[in-house]
Amino acid sequence: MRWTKTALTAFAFAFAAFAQAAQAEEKRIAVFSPQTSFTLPVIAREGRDYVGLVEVLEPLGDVSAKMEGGKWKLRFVQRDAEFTNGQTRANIKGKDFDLPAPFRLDGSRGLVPVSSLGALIPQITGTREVVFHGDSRRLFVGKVAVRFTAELQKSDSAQKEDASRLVLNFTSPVNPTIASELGKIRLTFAREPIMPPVVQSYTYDNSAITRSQYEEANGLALLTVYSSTPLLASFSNEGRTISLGPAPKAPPVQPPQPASTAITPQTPPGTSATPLPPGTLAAGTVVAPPQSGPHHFFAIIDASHGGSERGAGLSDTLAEKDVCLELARRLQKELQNLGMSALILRDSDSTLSLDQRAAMANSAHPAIYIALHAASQGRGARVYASLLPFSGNARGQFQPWESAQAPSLRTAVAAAASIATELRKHDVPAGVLYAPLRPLNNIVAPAVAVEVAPPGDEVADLADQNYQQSIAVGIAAGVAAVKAQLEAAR
Amino acid sequence: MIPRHLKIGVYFLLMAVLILSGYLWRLKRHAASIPRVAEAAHVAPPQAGPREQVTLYVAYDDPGMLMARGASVPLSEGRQQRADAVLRALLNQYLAEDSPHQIAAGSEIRNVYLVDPGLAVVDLSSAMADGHRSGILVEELTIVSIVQTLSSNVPGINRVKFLVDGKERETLAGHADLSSVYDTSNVAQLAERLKAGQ
Repeated sequence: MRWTKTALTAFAFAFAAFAQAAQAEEKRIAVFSPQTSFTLPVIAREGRDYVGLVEVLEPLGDVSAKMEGGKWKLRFVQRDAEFTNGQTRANIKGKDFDLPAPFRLDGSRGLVPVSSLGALIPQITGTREVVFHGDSRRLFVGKVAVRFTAELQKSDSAQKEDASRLVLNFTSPVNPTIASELGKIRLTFAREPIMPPVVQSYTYDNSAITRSQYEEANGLALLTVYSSTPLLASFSNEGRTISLGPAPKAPPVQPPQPASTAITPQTPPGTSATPLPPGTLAAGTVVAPPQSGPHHFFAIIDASHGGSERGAGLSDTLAEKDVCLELARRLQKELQNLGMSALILRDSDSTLSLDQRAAMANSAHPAIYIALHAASQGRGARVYASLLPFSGNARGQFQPWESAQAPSLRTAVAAAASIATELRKHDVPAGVLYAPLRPLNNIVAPAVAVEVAPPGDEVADLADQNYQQSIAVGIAAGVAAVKAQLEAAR
Repeated sequence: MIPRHLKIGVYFLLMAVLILSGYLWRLKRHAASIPRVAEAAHVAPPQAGPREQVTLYVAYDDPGMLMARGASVPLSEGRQQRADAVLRALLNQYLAEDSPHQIAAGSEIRNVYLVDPGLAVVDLSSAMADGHRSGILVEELTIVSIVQTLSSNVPGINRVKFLVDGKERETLAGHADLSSVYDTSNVAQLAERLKAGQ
């Protein structure tokens, strides 16, 4: 039995060593500079963290290194430094410099202790403005810091405390990854040189948004906001402002009405400039899933392009982004008239990346995602499902990002066919095609895109209210016709 | 009492775990120090050679269709030269005055790289991408016509990736995806639908 214990212990040590070796690969250091931001792997040597010095300096300027006379000689933009393998003493620009641990050579690659970077980089680069957060391994070289303030904007009414918003203002545009869990939403900044706020953990006197916590770890900056209700994150001010507020309640779902009455427009043409209905959100909205109960939004409508990205220039005065937005608002109204809640992803003239659109749509867990486009070529409308790219196979429940649509494609094609059929019923020529169109590939729900072309020879007719209304009614009716199928696939 | 053969087996496994752990660790270190080299070869400029009949898949904006058109093209034996020649012939159709699918003046395919196994990398000029008309259908027609012409005339291609001036780009002109790798079998199915005018 003693023998068995010994063998098991040896096995445990062997596996622990193996796991440790694999774990070490995952440690990284983030470097932020005016030129670029990048991450590097941390290398473990004799229980200490090391990093390749040339790799740190390469994106910052001309650097070269060579072995000469037993010394590892480095040249960075006219500045020379010498290191010796196994020695802590180095020579930089003729002056001695002591490292906290010995310099190591890995082949011809020079490794320096990670903890030395805060003092070493200013000496080598001549840049005084170097800040190093050792615990989280975040190195700031030059004037790159992005700072932010957090302000809780309370509702006027005490009874409406759950309408309060936490407004984060950044000194430069940011694009964090946003993940929501039960009772909290987490913003992860991987590329932005975010500096910690003065107060890193703050408790709010508010029942909806209770606490915010700033942390740094493994090259990342993390901001977690705790709440008692599902939160939305919306971007504005060209990515400089993120507002976190409670998700709006979905309109009550009405029972389906007969198509003949349901598709009658309740809003006369020309009323598109009316205030937005409840449930309409600001641009760049990420929807945190509800903590319980049914899904909030049945459809996500994506008004394509926006902001600096005009899309197709349909005419001198008409841009695709504007036609898409107008049409999205009409479609939202028509879907709601048919008892289907709908959310517009971009409801103002703001820029959203394709990945942001996909992330927002996926966070909302809709039954269907509808992207709207406009073009001057052809007549009527073309309804697209995703032409999936070549990609790897799914692993368990994980689907490759570029083919996240694959499991939903069959339902998406059925929805596209239904929409085309209903559009034709409303005198809009329509066909179904596949298209290599992002972010359709990245959406986990059934995703379709509708490209609207003019009804005749005049491109300006794309802005015609009656024509847009017919399109919106047709799409909504098409979605309603496959509602049960979409619900089943959800 | 534990049988001797069982003891030997367990000792052997323990040794194997230790040796493989050390070997894996060395491999990781080695891999991190090796610079990655792209396995691609530059395509030579088109050469005069015997003419051969090829099929070009030509886009027609009105009514948004793809049509197979025969063309006589000087071809050499090499696959890369062949790929280069058929795509130049296709672009000549689009740059002609009576083009059914106008593309911007100065458009060209800078290079085609064939990377085994089965990947073709098509490097478009920035003049072609920047001057391309914007729209799902019009961009899709360009992409499908290039992929289908390439895969139909050059054997062994099952994936196509696009670059613009040697760099990755998200879309051709705001719509057609250039960030992903095209599966030629999926594109062939789409081409059939586009040929049928659906």
